[in-house]
This record gives sequence, structure tokens and C-alpha cells, in this order.
Amino acid sequence: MSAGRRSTSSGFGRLLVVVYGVFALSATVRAGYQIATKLSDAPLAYTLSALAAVVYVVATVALARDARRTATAAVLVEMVGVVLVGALSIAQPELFGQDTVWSGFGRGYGYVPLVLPMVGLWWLWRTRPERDSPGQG
Amino acid sequence: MVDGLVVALLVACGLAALVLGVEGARGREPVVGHLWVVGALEALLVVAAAVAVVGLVQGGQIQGSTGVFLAYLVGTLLVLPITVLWGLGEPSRWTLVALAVAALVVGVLVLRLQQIWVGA
Repeated sequence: MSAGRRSTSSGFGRLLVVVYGVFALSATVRAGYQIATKLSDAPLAYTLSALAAVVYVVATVALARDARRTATAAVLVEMVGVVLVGALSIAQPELFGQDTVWSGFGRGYGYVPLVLPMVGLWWLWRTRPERDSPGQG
Repeated sequence: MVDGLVVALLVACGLAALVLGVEGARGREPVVGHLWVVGALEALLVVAAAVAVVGLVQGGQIQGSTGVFLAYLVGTLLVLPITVLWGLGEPSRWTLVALAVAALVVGVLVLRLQQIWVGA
């Protein structure tokens, strides 16, 4: 909008928070259901699902409230998670047993989980404070 | 679910996403007319949810868990209102794009519901 530092929830950020929110909600419901009903089937995969859910929830809230540092940390964890789990799920499919949000680089979700952290980091960079002062959060 | 209803819902989601997305892409800001589009879609979703619940009560079968089906169903009803409230917190073209994405998400949820609905 105006000159100076922009909130992570302004402008394009409104859209980004909605997309993150959708993933936060669906990952939470999915992980909650998996853990409640069949954790023993694939403990690693379902624990990862829960971790992904937490990361999405934290990223959503942090982006919505302009908590820049928390958002950056969450998005970075998300980026590492999707790349690591994506690569491992292809190299060692038997390791997980069941699919997670991040399996195959998020193939089950139209690869949005792979693109989302990149967009998130780009947006945090775009809206970074103009002076070299530390962000809040 | 009832096939005709699912097709109607998918078409409505697609149309709403198209209209709102084009308006957002053209740089328009949200006006009451856009909210009517969202409201019409939401009304259709409420009808569909009622039909689905009646179908369940009458012995409709779900592949997997009924709880998951109900969670998706509640999801279809909540996505648009939450996006409207959040988006209008700071109205801009991005509010319209966010609503377009929300309509697409609802469409995906409807597809999932259709996939796990086995029938009576």
C-alpha cells in the first residue's frame, strides 16, 4: 500500500493466509483422524502428518498476525520438510508405510505443498522491513 | 451424493471461482455484487449438506469413516464465510482472488465427498 514496511497479511498476504489456512485446517483434521484411529499402522508417517499440521497452523497464524520471525521459521521448516520427506518417500517408500502431506513432494495435493513455502519465503522477502531492524515475532 | 446435485455444485464452484478470479485479476475491489455470488454458492452448499445429512440418516454408506465425511461436509460450509470475514478485514483485489481460491477449495471438498459416498 503506502511506503514503508508492509504487513505480511496485507494485499497478496490476504490470499496467502487463506491458502495456508486451508492446509492448516485439512492437515490438522487429517493428522488428528490418523493418530486417533490408526497410529500403529504407520507411526512415522502419521507423526510427520502431525508435525506438518503444526507447521501449517503456526505459519498461518504468524503470517496473519505479521509475526515475521515465527513465520519465517515455520516456512523454512516447511520447505525442509517437504524436500526431505519428498526425496525420502521416493528413495525409500517403505520407510513411511503411508502417505503424508509431503510425500512425493506433495503430489497428492497438486504439488501445492512444494510451491507454498517458496511463495511464503518470497512474500516474507518482499514485505521485509526497509531498514535493517529486526522483525517482530 | 445425488449426482445432479454434485454436478450443479461443481459448476457453481467453477463459475464463482472464474467470476471472482477475473474480477480480482482486473484489479476490482470487492463490492456487494461479489458477496451475492459467494452467498448464492453458500446457499447451494447448505442445501447440499442438508441432502447429504438426510441421506446419511436414511442409511447412506461412507467408504471409510463417517466422521471424515462429516468433517469435509462442515468444511464446505465454513470455508467461504471464514474467507469472507478474513478477506474483508482489508478489502482489495486480493480479497476477490482469495474468494476465488476458496471456491476452488470447496469444489475439491465436494469431489472428495462424492468419492467417499458409497450410497444407500
